[in-house]
Amino acid sequence: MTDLLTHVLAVFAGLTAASLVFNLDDRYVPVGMVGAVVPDLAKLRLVIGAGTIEAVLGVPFSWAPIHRLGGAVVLCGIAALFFRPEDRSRAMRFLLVGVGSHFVLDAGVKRANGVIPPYFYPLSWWQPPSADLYLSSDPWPATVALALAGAVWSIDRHRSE
Amino acid sequence: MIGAIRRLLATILLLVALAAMTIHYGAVAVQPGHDALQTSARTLATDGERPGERLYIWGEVLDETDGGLRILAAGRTLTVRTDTAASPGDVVQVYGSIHSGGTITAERVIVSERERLRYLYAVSVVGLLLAIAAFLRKWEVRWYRLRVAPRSDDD
Repeated sequence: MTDLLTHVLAVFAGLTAASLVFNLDDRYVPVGMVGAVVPDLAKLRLVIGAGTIEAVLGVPFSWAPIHRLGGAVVLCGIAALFFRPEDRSRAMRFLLVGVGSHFVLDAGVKRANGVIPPYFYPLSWWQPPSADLYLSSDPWPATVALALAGAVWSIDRHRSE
Repeated sequence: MIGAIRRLLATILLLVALAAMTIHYGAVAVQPGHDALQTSARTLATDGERPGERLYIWGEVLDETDGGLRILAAGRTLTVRTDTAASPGDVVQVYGSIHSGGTITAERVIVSERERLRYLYAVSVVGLLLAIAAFLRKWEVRWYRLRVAPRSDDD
C-alpha cells in the first residue's frame, strides 16, 4: 500500500484542482480525503488478526475485502448514511472518488510476483500487472503529492482573494 | 423517526453484506488463482507446499545466511536463496519456488528497510490525522443524532 499521507494529499490535490475547473463544492474535498482512507481500514488486521476471528467464530474470515472494491463501496455506503439526505448522494460520490484514487495509487506499488491483489473483488478475481513504480516505504510519492497539494492549494487561495 | 429506522435497517443490511464478503473471501481467496498472497500464506501455514511450487510471501528478515536470508513468514522460518541483501528487521517480499526443508529459490526479492517502515507508519498517521482535521473543518458530527452536517459558518 502507498502511505496514507500520499493518498490523502493526492485526493486533496486532484479534487481541489477539479473544483477550480468544474466549480465543485469544496466542502466535499475533505469527504474525498476520508474516502481515500477507507480501504486502509483493512489494517484492523494488525489489531485483531483474521485467525483470531476465525477461531472465535468458527468460520473463514479475511479483512481483505475492506481493501477491495466491494468492501470499500459498502463502507462508503455506510458512511454516506450519516450525512443529511440532501448531502448524501454527493458525499457518496466524493467518498468513491477517494476510494478509486486509493486503488489507482496502490496499483503502482512494487510486488515481487508482478501483479496487484484482486482489487475488483467481488466483481472479479482478476490480478492485473503491477506498475512496479515504488515501495510503500519510499518517501518520494509523498514528496510529489505534497508538492502538488501545495501548488493547488496556493492557486486556490489566490483565486479566493 | 421513520428516517432513522430506515437508516438503521440500511446500515444493518450493508454490514451483513460486508460480513458475507469477509467470510466468502476467507474461504475462497486461499484457493489457487484467487489471491496469490493469501494462497501462499495458507499453503505455508498448513505445511501444504509441494516441491517446486511457486509462492509469493511477505516475511521479516531474521538474519543473513551464506547465500541468502532467513525469514519468518506465515509462522514459519524459511531460508531464501537470493543475492539480495537485507538486514534483520527488514520486511521482504519473495517470489520463488519452494523446496523441501523450507528453502525458497527466489526469482525476485523486494526489500523494505526497517527504518523506512517506521517512516511509512509515521507519515500514515499524519495522513490519517490530516484527513480527519480537514473533514472536521468543514463538517460537524452531531453525535446525539448520529449525523454529519456542514458547519454553519460555511453556508
